[in-house]
Amino acid sequence: MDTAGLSLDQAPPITIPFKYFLTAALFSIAVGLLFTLHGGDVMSSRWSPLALGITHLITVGFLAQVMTGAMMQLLPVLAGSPIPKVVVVSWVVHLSLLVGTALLVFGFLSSRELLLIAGGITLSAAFLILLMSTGMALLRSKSHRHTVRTLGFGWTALAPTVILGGYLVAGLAGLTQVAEMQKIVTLHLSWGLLGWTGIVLFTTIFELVPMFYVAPGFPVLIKHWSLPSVFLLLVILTLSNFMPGAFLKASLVLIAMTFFVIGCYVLSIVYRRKRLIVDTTLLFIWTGVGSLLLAVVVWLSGGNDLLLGGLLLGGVCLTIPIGIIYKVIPFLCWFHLQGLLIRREKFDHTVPSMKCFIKEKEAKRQYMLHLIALCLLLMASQLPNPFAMPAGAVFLFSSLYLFKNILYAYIVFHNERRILNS
Amino acid sequence: MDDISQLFIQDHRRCDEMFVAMEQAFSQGEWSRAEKTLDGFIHAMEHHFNVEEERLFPVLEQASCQANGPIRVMMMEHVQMRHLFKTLCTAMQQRSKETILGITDTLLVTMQQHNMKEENILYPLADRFVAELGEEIALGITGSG
Repeated sequence: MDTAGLSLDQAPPITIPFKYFLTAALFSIAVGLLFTLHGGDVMSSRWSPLALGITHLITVGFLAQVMTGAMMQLLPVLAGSPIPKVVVVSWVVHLSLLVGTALLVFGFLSSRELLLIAGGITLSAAFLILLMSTGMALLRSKSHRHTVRTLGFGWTALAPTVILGGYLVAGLAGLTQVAEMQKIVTLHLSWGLLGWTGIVLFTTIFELVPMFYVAPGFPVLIKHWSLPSVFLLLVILTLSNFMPGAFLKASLVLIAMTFFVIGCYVLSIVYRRKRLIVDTTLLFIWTGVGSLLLAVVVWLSGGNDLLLGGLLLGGVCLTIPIGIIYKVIPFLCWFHLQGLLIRREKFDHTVPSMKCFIKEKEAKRQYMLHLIALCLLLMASQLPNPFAMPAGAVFLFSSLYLFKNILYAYIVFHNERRILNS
Repeated sequence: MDDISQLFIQDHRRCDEMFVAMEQAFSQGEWSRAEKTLDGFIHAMEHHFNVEEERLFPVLEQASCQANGPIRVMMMEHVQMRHLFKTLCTAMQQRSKETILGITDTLLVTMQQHNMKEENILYPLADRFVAELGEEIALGITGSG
């Protein structure tokens, strides 16, 4: 009998998430470094090569690494279906994401067409493999839960993002003429930020918040329909290129309103949680959702693009995933060690609890640095001088701290594993 | 009659609430309340595990070989959680609040990811292949069977 899709094993080896999360932290360090050195120039225009380079360091460098690493862990739990050949796929995708991002960003910074093309091709290959393997896992899943379907929408949104991105790279490299560049860019970033990132991130939040904080589940309308509606609105937005301009604006407004309602519900569900603790993950979620709500208000009131970009990229994309990392990493360390303890029958030994892998105090310190950096970044979007440089410096320090926290967890894990294996 | 999924899911939520009451007592340092709620929580969890291990899993294993892999994983996670209960009891005797809250955090995530797997995969299989067990499970969970 076919038992595919029924494996409940925590399939991927623990080195996979560590590899992805540490690389993400490295890209985050690169963002801090660039911002410290050239913060003022970044803020001069969202179209400057530096701004494009930093945007892609955040989205493809940081976000894609975190979301891919987390998805490889979450799929067996959420969908009961692991990614096929996960070890090979994770190596290939990780390496091509790493190399592709570096090439693309160097391409933007140096305005070298060849680097841009090479980066575009490498990243397209990474995403193609990732999409095929994630798609296969989701299709094999016997779970009929809406969560699995919504995740499918989120990862599908990556396809138009990559295709449009490839088209833009071809345009920048002079291989083709991009008609209506502004519209294509709007579509590229809408599919990427609102579709792929927004849908995958909030599907995860819909699952994790009630779990971690023993909170009521999200209402069916929000949990099952809001994010697929975002996907549908993105399709309408894309088609609206062939329709009068009003359609384009209307669908974007509806997407913004949907995310506003989702954000309000997340805050309300967290407020009604039964587990009253406030841990670092929750602080990151609050900050991320607060930034999202603020971003919608700024956009609807016609605020400037740099402030909006700071809120979405810094406040949401760089914030919520860190909160999730702080729960996922310690749990995986504990879970793998506890499994080893049982297999080795070393019942006289006790595996340290989750809090020993990333100490709450250390995570909170990193959060404080992150929050200060975010506030400075938002001020820098209005007054690049004097805020851009300190924003970059604090963010650099915060990213180094994040890297240190993840690395520390790996060292504790490694030492404990050695004891259990001895 | 409720289906098997609903019965077990309701019991998961009941255990979650008992967990919250226990953790709150620990975090407030109310040791006598903590002791009582810890006993109640472990009792409820053990009862839930026993109904699964003695009444559901053996029958489901016979009815569908699709369930064998998931059942094996669930059994292993029951062992992991039982190990955590022991660690929690030891830390309770030592009145070590920080250690206890580290263990409860770990226990909660372990419980929740375990419940999610059961609710997404295993219980739907039970509804499909051994629906006739519903009444017996209902009696088992309420403790009257």
